[in-house]
This record gives sequence, structure tokens and C-alpha cells, in this order.
Amino acid sequence: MKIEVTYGQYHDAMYSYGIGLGFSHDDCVDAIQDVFCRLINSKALEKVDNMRFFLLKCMKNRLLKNYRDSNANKTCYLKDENFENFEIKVSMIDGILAKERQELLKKKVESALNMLTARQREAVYLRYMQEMEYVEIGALMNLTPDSAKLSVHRAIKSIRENPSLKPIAYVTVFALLRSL
Amino acid sequence: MVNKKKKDILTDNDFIEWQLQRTEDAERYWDEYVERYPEREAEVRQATEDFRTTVRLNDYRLPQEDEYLISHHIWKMAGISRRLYIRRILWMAACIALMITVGSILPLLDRSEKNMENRQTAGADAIIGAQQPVSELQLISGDRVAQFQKDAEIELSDKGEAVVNKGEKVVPLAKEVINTLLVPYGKRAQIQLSDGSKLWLNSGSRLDFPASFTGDTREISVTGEVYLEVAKGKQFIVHAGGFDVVVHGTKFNISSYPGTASQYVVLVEGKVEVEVDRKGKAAEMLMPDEMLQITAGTAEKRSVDVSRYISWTRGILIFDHTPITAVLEEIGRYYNVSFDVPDNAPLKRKTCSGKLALDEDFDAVMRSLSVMSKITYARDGNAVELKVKE
Repeated sequence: MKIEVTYGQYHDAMYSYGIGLGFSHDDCVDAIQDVFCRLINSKALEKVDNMRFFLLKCMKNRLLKNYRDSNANKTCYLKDENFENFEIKVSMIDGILAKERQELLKKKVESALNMLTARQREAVYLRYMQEMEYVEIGALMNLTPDSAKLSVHRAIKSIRENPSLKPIAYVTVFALLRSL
Repeated sequence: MVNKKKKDILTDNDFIEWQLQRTEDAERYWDEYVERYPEREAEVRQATEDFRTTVRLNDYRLPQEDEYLISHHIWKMAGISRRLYIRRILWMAACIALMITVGSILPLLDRSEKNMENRQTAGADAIIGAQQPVSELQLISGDRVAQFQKDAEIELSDKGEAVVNKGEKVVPLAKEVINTLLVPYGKRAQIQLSDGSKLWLNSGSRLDFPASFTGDTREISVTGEVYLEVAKGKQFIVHAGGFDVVVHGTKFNISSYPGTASQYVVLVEGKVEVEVDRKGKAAEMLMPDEMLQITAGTAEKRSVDVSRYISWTRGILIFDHTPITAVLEEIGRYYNVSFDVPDNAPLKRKTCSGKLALDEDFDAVMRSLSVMSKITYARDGNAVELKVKE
């Protein structure tokens, strides 16, 4: 596939992910350009199975690298692992739900997201908006696949043990995310 | 399993968690739920659909102007280096071929420049170039402006439409007005007019043309460099800023860049009359393989090797003892690189002979040029630097 086409498909995803990670508009624009300019002369794209995962990974790495480079002369700056800020802005597409129901849903979604940690929010964003598998999410967020699997397993197990208890079921849904 | 009979499923907390996270356990939970309450299956499905079409998280879009700027950059980079990796393999072979070419041309090279008396240091001696952003090709018809990112091949149809790149885009042309095709530096275009005449426009050129020729004569205006293959028909006149060319069925090249010292017409086939814009001067008649060079209103006719003047239509530049400054001017137009030549640069006296294939990327062209004319070439981002080889 031509790189222009790939760019056309994924630039919004990359931009939106970068903004979510807390980077500025300018940083995101620079990073997108850097990522694609580097890919022009490489064969990397041809070998990619999962383009979305690949490009989001590139985007994150590039944002962090640009951030490190721009702070190279400073004695003190945030380390990568401190980039644990992930904000989610909930927006609703009008016209499908009645106004009050839409408002109520928005509030509930927001409060559900507020209960999560930043990393859990990042995972939810990647799962819901980018429709990525948890294995990919784990890889993107530097989690081992094993820990992701284990979490899922644990969650299923507790649901089986307490099939009718709402509070437990409610908690188990979070089990995976909490372990992130 | 919780009975959610009385609740609105869409705004149910469990449902929201499920939609947001889609974890395997949640999927299982809702499968079981639907199994237990089959009568609510439709409602669950509807709620799922509503949720997914309504709720957006961080639904940011790259603003259009940034999207455009980046894509522009990528197009440019991809355009000139798409085949780079193939070239890496072919590069050695190309080098050898080039060395053979250069070897045969070497005697032509201006040896007097060989022993430049002193060692050159960077700075005022070097020619510095800067790669400029390439703008779009524009086709202007009345109020309508169509822009193209890539080099364009345009054909005017019978219906007065401009068909671009074999139908990739169709631009209707205004009937009564003169249309304009602007080819910026770094781009080329080819256009077939309504009478079947074919024109190749080099970088930095402009063509004014009607959607169809209605009067007694066919008339167009050009600036920059154009190669024409005129179809038979009514008298064809080309206004070229400073001179007119009256065509008698032919193939010829016009170079009339504003701001350059001289302009010229080179005839390949047929017959043309060149009317230099000066009173009391008879029109110059050109025969094939002749060039009329117009410098400050003075016309000078001589025989030339025409292939040199039309090779650009095939993406090749041919030089024969051509001053390096003239070479850089042509290359600069083609790739939209502006070269800054200091007055005392030793390079100014260098000349260059040989063939340069322009369909390669800019760096490869500059490397070839540096081999051809014994200069060093260095690049840092958009800036390039040329120096006399030690």
C-alpha cells in the first residue's frame, strides 16, 4: 500500500492518541510527520500485519523520543514511566438518542472512566476507539502478554464463581484493567 | 445474573463497562444474560448499536491545514525517493555506467579549472542551496481553481472539460474565458489542447489557453519552458513574452523564463516564424535543428543539437560545456531548490558536460552532477552545499 494512503487512513488515530497521552497539538503534528518521513525510505511498512498497532507504537515512541530530545539539555525531566497521564474527553454524536438519555449516558460514561487509572483509561481508549485486541494493547503499553492473559483468566474465574452477584460481577469487569 | 428488566439497558453501569472495555468476561456475562432473558436480546442489540454510534472518546481530528502540510511533505518525499531502495541495489551499477559516460566525456570537461589555486574552505566559496516546499499545479478557469498534488497529464475533451491523469479528475472549463495552467517549480505537466496539439510544460511555467479554438487563428500564451507538438489546422500562434511564434505545423521548444537573460526557440520539425517584439524587424524563419536565441531583444540564429533542448520532456538534462550556474538553475527549477551562488565562488567558472536523468531523487542527481563536474555535494535537511573538490 502506498504510504500516502496509509497516512490518510491513520493520521487521525495517531493524532488523537497523542493528544490523549497529554502531548500538545504541535508535538503530535511533528511526531506524525517524523513517523511517516522515516517510513518512506524503509521497507518496514510492507512487513506490517497490524498497521494500526504499528503506527500507534511508532507514534508513542516518536513522541517520547522528541520529548526526551527536546529536554536533553535539562537536568530534570519526566522519565517515560511517568507518562502515565491519559485523559479521555467523552463526546456524543447527536441525533441518535433523545436529549436527556444522551446526557445521562454521557455522565455515566464519564464517571465510569473517572473510576479508572490513567493506564486503564488508555487501555479503554485503545480498545473502544481503536478497536485493538488486549494482546496488542498490552504490547503497546509495555505489558507482557502473560500478564494480560492472566488478568482475563482471573476475571472470568470470578464471574463463574459468583454468577448472580451484581457487585462482584461489576468488580470483575474491572479486574483486567485494574491489573494494568 | 442480575435481572435488568426494569432498567434502561443503555444507561446501565454494567452495560457501559461492557461497551467500553469489551473484556472477554464481560462478553461472556452478556451472552449469559441474553440467554436467560431472550426477550431482551433485541433491546441489548439496539443499546449496543446506539452506544457505539453515539459515544466517542477523544474523537480528535488532525486539523485540516496540518493534515495537508504533512501529506504535502510525505508526497514530496515519497515522490522523489519511492524507488530509492531499488536504486540502492542499482546504485552501484548506475555508478559504473555513469563512470563510463563521464569517462568518455572527461576530455570535454573544462580542465582549466582543475588546478584551483587554493584550498577552499566552507562559507563564501560554496554554493548553498535550499530545498523549497513545492506548491500545487493549478488549473484556473474563470472562478474555478483546481489544484493537483502530482505532475499532471491533462487532456481537453470535446465537451470542454479538462480530463486529468486519464480521468482521475474532470474539471469543467469556462467557455468564454482564457484558462490558465500554472506549473510551479518542482512540478511538470502535459496537456493536450482541444485541437489535438500536445504541450509539455516544464517547472515554473504558465500556459494561457482557451477551452476550444473558435477564431481564425489558434492562439496561446506561455511563459517558462514549453515543448509543443502542434496539430495540423488553422494558423497557430504562441505568444511567449517578448516574441511570438507563428507555427506552420511542427514540433518545437520555447524557453522564455521571466528574469533570465536570454530566451530561445528550438525547432525540431516543420517550420516556425519567430516575431521578436521589435519594430522594423522581419520575422525570423526557423528550420529544423535551428535555434533562435533572443538576448535583450537581439535575435541570433544557429544550428544546434535539438535533443539537448527537448530531453527534459523525458526527464533528462543534457549538458555540453554548460556553466554550472546554468545547470543548477535548471536542476533548481526541476526540484524546487534555490541555489545561492556567491559572486566569487570558484564553482561559478566550472562547466559541466554529460547527461543527467531527472527522474531520480534529488540527492542522486546531485551526486551524479558532482561526479560530472568534480564538485563535492553535501546535504543537511533542506539545505545543500556545493564546493570545488580539493
